[in-house]
Amino acid sequence: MTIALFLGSLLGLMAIGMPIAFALMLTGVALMYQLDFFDAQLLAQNMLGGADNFPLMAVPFFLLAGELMNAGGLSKRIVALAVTLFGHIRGGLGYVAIGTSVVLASLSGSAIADTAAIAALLIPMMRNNGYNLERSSGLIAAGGIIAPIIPPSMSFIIYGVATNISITKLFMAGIVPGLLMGVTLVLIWMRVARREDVPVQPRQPWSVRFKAAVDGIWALVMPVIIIGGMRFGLFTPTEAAVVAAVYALIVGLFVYREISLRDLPLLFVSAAKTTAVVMFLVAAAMVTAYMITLAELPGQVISLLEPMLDHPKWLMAAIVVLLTLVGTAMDLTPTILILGPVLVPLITKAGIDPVYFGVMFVMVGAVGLLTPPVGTVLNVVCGVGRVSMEGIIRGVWPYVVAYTALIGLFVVFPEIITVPAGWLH
Amino acid sequence: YAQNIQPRLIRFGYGLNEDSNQGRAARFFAEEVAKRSGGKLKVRTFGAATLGPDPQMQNALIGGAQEMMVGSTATLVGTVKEFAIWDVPFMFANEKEADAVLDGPVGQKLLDKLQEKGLVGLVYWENGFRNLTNSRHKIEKAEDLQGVKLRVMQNPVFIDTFKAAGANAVPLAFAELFTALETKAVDGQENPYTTIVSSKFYEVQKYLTVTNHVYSPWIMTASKVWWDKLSPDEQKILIDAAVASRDFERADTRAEAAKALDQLKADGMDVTVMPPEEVAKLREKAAPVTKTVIDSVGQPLWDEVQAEIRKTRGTN
Amino acid sequence: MGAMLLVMVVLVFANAAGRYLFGTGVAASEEIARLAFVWLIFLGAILAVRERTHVGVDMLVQRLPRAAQKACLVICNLLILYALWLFAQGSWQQVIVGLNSRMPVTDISLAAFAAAGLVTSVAMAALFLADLVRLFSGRMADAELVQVRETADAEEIREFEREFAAGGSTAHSGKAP
Ligand code: NA
Ligand code: NA
Repeated sequence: MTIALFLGSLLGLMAIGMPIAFALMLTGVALMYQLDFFDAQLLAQNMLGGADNFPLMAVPFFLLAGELMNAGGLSKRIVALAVTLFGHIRGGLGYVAIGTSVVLASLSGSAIADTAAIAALLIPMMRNNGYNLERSSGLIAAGGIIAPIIPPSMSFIIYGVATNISITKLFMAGIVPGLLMGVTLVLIWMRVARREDVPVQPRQPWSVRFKAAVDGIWALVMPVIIIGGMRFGLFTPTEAAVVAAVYALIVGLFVYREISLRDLPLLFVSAAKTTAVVMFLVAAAMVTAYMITLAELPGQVISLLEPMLDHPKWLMAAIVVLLTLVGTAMDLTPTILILGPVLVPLITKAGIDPVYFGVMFVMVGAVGLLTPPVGTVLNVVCGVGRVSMEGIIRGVWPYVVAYTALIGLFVVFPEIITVPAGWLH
Repeated sequence: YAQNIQPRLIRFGYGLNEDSNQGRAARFFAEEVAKRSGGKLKVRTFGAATLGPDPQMQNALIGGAQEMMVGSTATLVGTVKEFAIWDVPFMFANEKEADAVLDGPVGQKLLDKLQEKGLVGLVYWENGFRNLTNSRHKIEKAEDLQGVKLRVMQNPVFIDTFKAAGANAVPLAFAELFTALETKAVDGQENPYTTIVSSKFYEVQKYLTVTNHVYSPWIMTASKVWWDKLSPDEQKILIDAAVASRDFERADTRAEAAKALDQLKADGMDVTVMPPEEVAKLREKAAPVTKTVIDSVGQPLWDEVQAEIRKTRGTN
Repeated sequence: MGAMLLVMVVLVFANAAGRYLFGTGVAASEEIARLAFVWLIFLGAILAVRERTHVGVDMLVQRLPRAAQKACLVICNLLILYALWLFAQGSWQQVIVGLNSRMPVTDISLAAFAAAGLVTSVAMAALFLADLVRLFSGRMADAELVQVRETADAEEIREFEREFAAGGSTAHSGKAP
């Protein structure tokens, strides 16, 4: 009943053209009535609490860094180099996008922040180079969700703390599946790119490539500064985002001199506007998440799974299906916080390795960021890349299917995750 | 059973995980209430801050949108400034003193002050004595703190205490702490043993120094708007169950802290106990900070607390 | 809004730089940055209502006849006004509660956070009401009937490309000399 009301109200309101943020608020209100817990303060509090979140400041910072990298000529030079290297391959910028996703995933732990950065950086360039907007943004959304799988990962930290499982082990166990996600994207893009009717550029001689590398050196050291800074402890992930912005600002202002102080207000306002749209949605999702918690939806579903304890792989498959369904409607962080502590005792009883389970949990939840109606990463790409929701759904589905197949492979052969995790730890 | 009990659902929120000492005690409280009310009062517990972080739950209680919670007393300082007294470093020498003061007249006096702010303070639970960990070097003497980048709570008393001790006190959100420790953005942090275990800081921290530099209590509160609607019978059941949960929680936490220390050693942490004379040096350095707290909470309250502590020490 | 983002950048950067260069952070930085973040989000969300940039799904409504689109818009706006009324009410209660509470380092009243909710709900409600008035007085253009962001809008893309071209066109730099 509760789940029907939840889905019915959310989907119904979205269907009649209500912005998702308000649909989420009203779904929360509907659940309040049903549970007889009506209180306007719950709405206000969860909205305000959802917005007041320090680690999520990485969102505006990475958006700003993206704006500054674009306006300051840094992204241009990275892409110029990438194009001299890969331009002669069909769909070359797609491989650049995948590579960037994997590299950025090792810089930050948040799918939203990474996606925002990559989308701001690459969608306009792919479009300017004649790529299909929907297919490009779908690829970038799919690449963005590698961020929480390859360490550092905010999701693994939350999961480890919520379920009392070693965070370092989770980090190590995430590396191989994260890289395999990148490989999956390459395989799918190879197929998708055949349909791209994009002018293929001639292969560049090494002298041209070298010149592009020299020209782009200031832009190229930026990831090094971020990785190095985090690895050697100069700053935290949120601060890494702000350092990226300040670095891009300095290079754009004083080295490449492509932005002047007069341009800055516009760039800041632009990043702020996008932030507001994305974060208002996050805040509204908190209202629904709160009511789902009060309704104790998770507990009811768990009782259904109890008879499967003797068949770990079937149990795992059932949980993957459940998480996939939950993932359509709920964001990753609340899913972890609500379901993690309930599921882990169950899977431990069934003899499933909790570290392996943690990687699977976060991976399925991350794919949920790509599925409507609540797909936060899709929203980010819509906001940053100016693509319609319908368009991005068309662009992203091949990757969602491929990821699901990869997850299925991990269900059948958990060793793909557990064996390398053993070597690395 | 008592006569005047209505069937009621009580939403009880807390910040740690269900399998923490906080979660176990919350469950115990729920069971006690059910037992004492013949199942009519149903406490539903929500862990892992699923009802929001402490400040948010506190506001929900004041506004009547949530019934009960347990959380840090530090969150209340912004509402009732006298609660800052529990943050004074090196005030209690052991749990016995803390119990005596918190459960005694002074502790009750502070609980009563919450009423005019829309809260009903019920009992104090134990978070525990806080201790230091770091990844840089063994800290045995007060001077060893010099230059250590230490993450402290976002609270002027803690920041100033560690600055006075020569450490570089770094305010940082708890959510970012693990990564900051792992990447060595900060060298160390300070928390009770149970937190060091549950947040896995031992994975990224080598040295543990037993300083017991401050005792952190938790406090169980109820919404006053809601509380005033309860019958005296219902209130009595909740108060009795709260007291029972307090005794359960303290015993459980102390047992777990003892185990946690062993586990931390087994996990490879290098454990040092700071000798009393070095702790005394730290207390001396913190004296000006303590003075500012006294100025804020008022000398009379401070004197009362000190008198209570002396009384406890006298009976030792 | 841009200024708030600037404040956040400066404070969070100063905290990191301060820790690295001088071994200490700016204690007040997190609290002020958080306050700026909350206001940025809500003021920006108001602006997004005005500019119709909130994300939504328009697959269905785009295909409806004009009368049905009008009906959807009226239902949406009325329901949103109800949600905003609750948001305003709740925020007002939170402002009252917040007046009694202060942040530990900066001593800023928590009401300063809750006030963002109040301002947002009131301002958004005014915008949605104005839309209803315009609709009923027949002054709303047909193109405005679907209010969620139609993001693939050609003009928006052109504008974005112009913005981009100002920084130098990427398409050219990638091509053969
Ligand atoms: Na990552
Ligand atoms: Na989804």
